[in-house]
Amino acid sequence: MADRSGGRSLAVRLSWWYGISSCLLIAVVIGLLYLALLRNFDQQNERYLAQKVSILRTLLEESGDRAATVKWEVEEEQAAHTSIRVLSRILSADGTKLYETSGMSDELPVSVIVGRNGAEVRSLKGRLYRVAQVSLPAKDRVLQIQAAIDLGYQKDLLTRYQNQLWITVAFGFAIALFVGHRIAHNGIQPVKFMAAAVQEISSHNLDERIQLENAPSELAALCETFNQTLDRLQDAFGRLSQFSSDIAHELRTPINNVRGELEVALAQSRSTAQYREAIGSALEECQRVSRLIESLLFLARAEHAETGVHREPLHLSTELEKLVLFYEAPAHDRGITVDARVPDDLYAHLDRNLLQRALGNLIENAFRHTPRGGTVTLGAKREGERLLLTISDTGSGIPKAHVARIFDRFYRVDSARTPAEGGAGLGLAIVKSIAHLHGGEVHIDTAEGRGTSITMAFELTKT
Amino acid sequence: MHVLVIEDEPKTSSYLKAGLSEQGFVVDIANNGEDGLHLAVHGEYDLVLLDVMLPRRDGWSVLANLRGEGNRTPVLMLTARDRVPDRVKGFDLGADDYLIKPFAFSELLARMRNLLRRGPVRSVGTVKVGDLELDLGRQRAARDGKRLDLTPMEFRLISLLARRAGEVLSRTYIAEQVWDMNFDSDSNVVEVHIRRLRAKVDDPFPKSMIHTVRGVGYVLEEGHG
Repeated sequence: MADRSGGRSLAVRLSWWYGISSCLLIAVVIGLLYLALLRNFDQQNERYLAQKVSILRTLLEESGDRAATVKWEVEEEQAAHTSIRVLSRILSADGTKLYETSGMSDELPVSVIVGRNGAEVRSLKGRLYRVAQVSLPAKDRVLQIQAAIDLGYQKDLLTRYQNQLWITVAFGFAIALFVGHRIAHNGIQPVKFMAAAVQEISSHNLDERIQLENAPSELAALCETFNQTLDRLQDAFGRLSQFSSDIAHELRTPINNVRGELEVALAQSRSTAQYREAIGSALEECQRVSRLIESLLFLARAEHAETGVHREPLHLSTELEKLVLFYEAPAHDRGITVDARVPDDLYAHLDRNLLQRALGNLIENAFRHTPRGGTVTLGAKREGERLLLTISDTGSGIPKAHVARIFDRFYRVDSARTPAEGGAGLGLAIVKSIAHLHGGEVHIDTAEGRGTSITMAFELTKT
Repeated sequence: MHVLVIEDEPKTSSYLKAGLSEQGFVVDIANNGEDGLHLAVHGEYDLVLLDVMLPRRDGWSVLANLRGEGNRTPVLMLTARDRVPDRVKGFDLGADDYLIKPFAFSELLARMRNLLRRGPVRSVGTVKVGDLELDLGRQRAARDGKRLDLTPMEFRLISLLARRAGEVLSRTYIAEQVWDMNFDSDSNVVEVHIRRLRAKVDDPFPKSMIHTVRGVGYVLEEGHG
């Protein structure tokens, strides 16, 4: 996982986080244990000192300061202990030493302890002691008991223990880093695999899909999403290349016609009427190409919403009546009836030219599929906050297989139908894009043998 | 009528010159923006046809400079660029009309006449072409003294053709003027209307007046043949 996109690798980041958090955890636990140990030692020391003082006090009170037991307790008792050294001495009221543990004065002279009951004191030899001093009123005089417990042994122990703790933390950190890295690395493996798989996909093998076996659920979702994106991409790509070849085909026919007619016309001398005929026909083909180009540009721009929509308030029954007047004659020729059913109070803000174009396309489409004796109806109604414009016919209907693609560019239900009969197959695509330009949509409702109705639905609040 | 055509594509300028001359215009050609601007400023033209993509000085600049000089000669822009912002720019700079290539020559003529006329089209009074007589006010048509029984739309169609007698009108233009249909369709709707009109206006009489100019449109002329 190289530093490819500026950010540090996820695996490295994760292992650092694992390492640092485990290390912190270890340090906190160990720290708390260490504090507990310190406290324990403190309490123990205090207890020992108090015990010593209390034994001496009892002995003094019971036996007097000359008793052998007191002397033994002060001078010899120490020998019984090995690990814990407790020193003690007894002073008379005037400050003279009565008894003391041997060697105590070398380390802790009387003056060092005086007035420092409970403190930690460093001895002349540099060892650390906790000391205690208690005054004891006995019979006619006041005795002083001084006691000290040697902390050096504990301090050594704690120092060793501390060192071990540091080593443990350092090892823990290293292990956590390593384990973290392994975990992260393994966790990231499917992502790497996926990246490699995605990298393999280009326009040439858009049909390939990513297959992660036993993928974790998070990645499975990502995979799924990516595969769906690929599906759409493949579909779009397919349409695009189909579209390009459709354009080429559509252009080929008229251009071939022009070329052929003009070549033939020039091949020998002809009458003016024949020239006129040839030129006129060539002109018609040019117009066909022009219209095709115009339609394609319209669709391309509508897709990027570059087409300006000039909305104006339209009285729908007026607009639809105009279309009826325009299409009445050709309908009559085909033996079809056209009529409009529009409430008189229906208004909408739409682009007049675009609306005419969409409805014109729908009407011409309906004409093509409606046999003699049929009816084409232009309807407009309000349904809640929506305006529904419907062109319905009593024609042949559209087979189910075609319905889904009927609004695609260049899609013709009857592939044998020539452009002269069926247009270039852009009419319904244009209807759809006009609806979309107005923020509306198109629905088709068709039953084979019973007719088709196509509805454009617009939000009235937007119109 | 004196027209200046500023267009660098030789085929385009040559057919424009031929076509417009035949229609009675006197045509000058400039094949770059610099010459075009010079001619437009110093010549006395009734109309300028201006291409956008020109060598040495583009159409926008020619138009801006011309208007900057205070010259109000009508300018019709001809261009293959028809994005909405381009059109808006053209009108903002003071263009009078805008035609997108490829265009029908008849369409160009119609627009030019519109710009040159610039007055409301007569909608009252009578129009007489040969033995065809139209009473625009009362919406009545007669030929050779015989009343023609026309629907209101048929009357609008014949009166459009009659008012522009001798001019070839494209199907698109006719659909726009008569039915207010502003889109170009592959279908033959206008042709059907013309056929029905002919059945009433031409068929009963020895001479026909409504002629089809193949690939261009329709024209009404004083009867011959």
